[in-house]
Amino acid sequence: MTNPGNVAAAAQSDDRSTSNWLKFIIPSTLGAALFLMPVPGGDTWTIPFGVMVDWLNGNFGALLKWALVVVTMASAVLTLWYSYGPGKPSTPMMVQYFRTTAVWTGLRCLGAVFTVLYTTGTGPEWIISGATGGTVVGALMTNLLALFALASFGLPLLSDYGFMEFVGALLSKSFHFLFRLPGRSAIDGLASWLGAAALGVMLTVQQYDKGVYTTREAAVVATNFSIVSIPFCYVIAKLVGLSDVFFAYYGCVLIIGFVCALILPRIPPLSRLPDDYKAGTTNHIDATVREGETLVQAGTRLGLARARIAPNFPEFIKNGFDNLVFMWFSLVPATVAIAMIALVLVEYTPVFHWLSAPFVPILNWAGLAEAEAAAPSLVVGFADMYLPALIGKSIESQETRFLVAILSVSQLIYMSEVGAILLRANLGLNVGHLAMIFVIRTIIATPIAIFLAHYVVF
Amino acid sequence: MTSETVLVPINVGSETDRAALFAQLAERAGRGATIVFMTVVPEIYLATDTDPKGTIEAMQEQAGVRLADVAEAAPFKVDRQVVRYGPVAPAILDVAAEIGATLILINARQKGRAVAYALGSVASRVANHAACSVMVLRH
Repeated sequence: MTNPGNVAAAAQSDDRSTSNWLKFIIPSTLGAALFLMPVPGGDTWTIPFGVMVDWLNGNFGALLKWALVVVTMASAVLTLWYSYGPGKPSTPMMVQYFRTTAVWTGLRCLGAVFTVLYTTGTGPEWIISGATGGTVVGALMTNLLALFALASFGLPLLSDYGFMEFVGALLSKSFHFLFRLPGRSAIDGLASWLGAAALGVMLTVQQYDKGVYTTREAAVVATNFSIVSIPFCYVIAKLVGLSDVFFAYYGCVLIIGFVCALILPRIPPLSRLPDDYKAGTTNHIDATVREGETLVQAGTRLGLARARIAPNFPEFIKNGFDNLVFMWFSLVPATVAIAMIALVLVEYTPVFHWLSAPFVPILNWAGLAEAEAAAPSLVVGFADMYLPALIGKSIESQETRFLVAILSVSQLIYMSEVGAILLRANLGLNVGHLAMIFVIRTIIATPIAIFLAHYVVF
Repeated sequence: MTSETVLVPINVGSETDRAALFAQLAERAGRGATIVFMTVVPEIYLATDTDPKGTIEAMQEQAGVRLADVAEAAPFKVDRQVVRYGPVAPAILDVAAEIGATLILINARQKGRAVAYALGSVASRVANHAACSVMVLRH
């Protein structure tokens, strides 16, 4: 993704040539159609992206299964070779992909071992059971491989060619009115929604560094609008067997996100953060919408500016391929390991049941079926976004699975990614603050999700 | 004049008191040493990121801005600033080799004792493996 921060400079020169209009309109329309347009899928409605993921899984399931074996094995061997063996990575790309710390090397190797043992059926019961290996290797990872393959080429259509800036500008006044934030926050929020949560956080931090946001505003944007992107929401819904109600599910996620964003900035810890700009910054002007401009004019100007610096077709293909290889070799094996370790702890130890015991009576009181099975999902989301959905996959009650899938993406602060980036960003948020925000989001999201599941969706 | 090239790894994610570090460097800069500041964005698990390279690029840009802030606060001229992504100690050793550093000047560990004992510290790994001299400053 080209950095939207560079758009400010590009926006100075107003490129309204036909070729730039086409560069803005064609990819943006394709992206919007791929991820946002409802299409019939089986008995219900889905998005074209979902149809493609299902088609890949349906027709190339076996290939994806063995591709996962090859990817995790290759990743483990090459990481060991270049990080701790005699191999000397000769290119920056090899360094970035295969030289890593002991912890990540260990996780990649574990990921390979788990994948091989599950796929060949030679592992012990605690690895190859449906609740552990079956869920992670058999269901989650094959979906993720397909998702990565499609999203690494599809999402840039939405995020790199001006659509994000156009819609962000249209929403900028609403964001200012509803959330007391600079209009620019709408674009940063959309970067998460249409791109990636981690990238959304980074763009927010960059705006803070430039003096567009105060410390409080940056923290509010990062902790409220770093929504998990649409394709991941689809995978979560599919994982827990709710892809047939994807639109209702995603609508609920948006409603809950909206309510959280109304409440959280007005209460501690966010309300107590200083409303100061970063020291040394002087120009605190949000230039998203200029004086005398309508929202559509501003959106068009920003969209065209973004399109002007967007990658051309060969670069688009190269960037997508680079990202795909990086995801498959660097991230997928570690995801297998982390998810497997968590599920083994859930299935074969009482650790998560101890941690979640206080929530069982509350969920029982709220009338939730299988409260004991759902309770761990309320706490594990702080560690990683996938975990609640993985735990909740085997719950029989559709409403309870719905709650778990909602929490998985609505809790939003997971330390494996967004939390870690927020801590590094020096926005005045510490682990205690993040835990508090996580708990508050869970407290807000749970009753709304139960209510919507009970009275609206099912 | 000296042909000394000093590599200074900076953790831009912490608000460490750099007075002792800057005092050491000012003296060397005064003698004509080339001062190179660097920072490393440690690896991060981008599990839900479909544009991890874009995110890493954004993290490097942000680290570059923070490194420039530190350089601006220094009471001497910083000749070059470098930002890398990956495991911290190997990245420092790579840059030291690339620029032909004659000295690496690094602050001692900032982690808690238990964590540092379990994982080792960047400074000790750099001191063990660097091809040039390494000076570790205690706070």
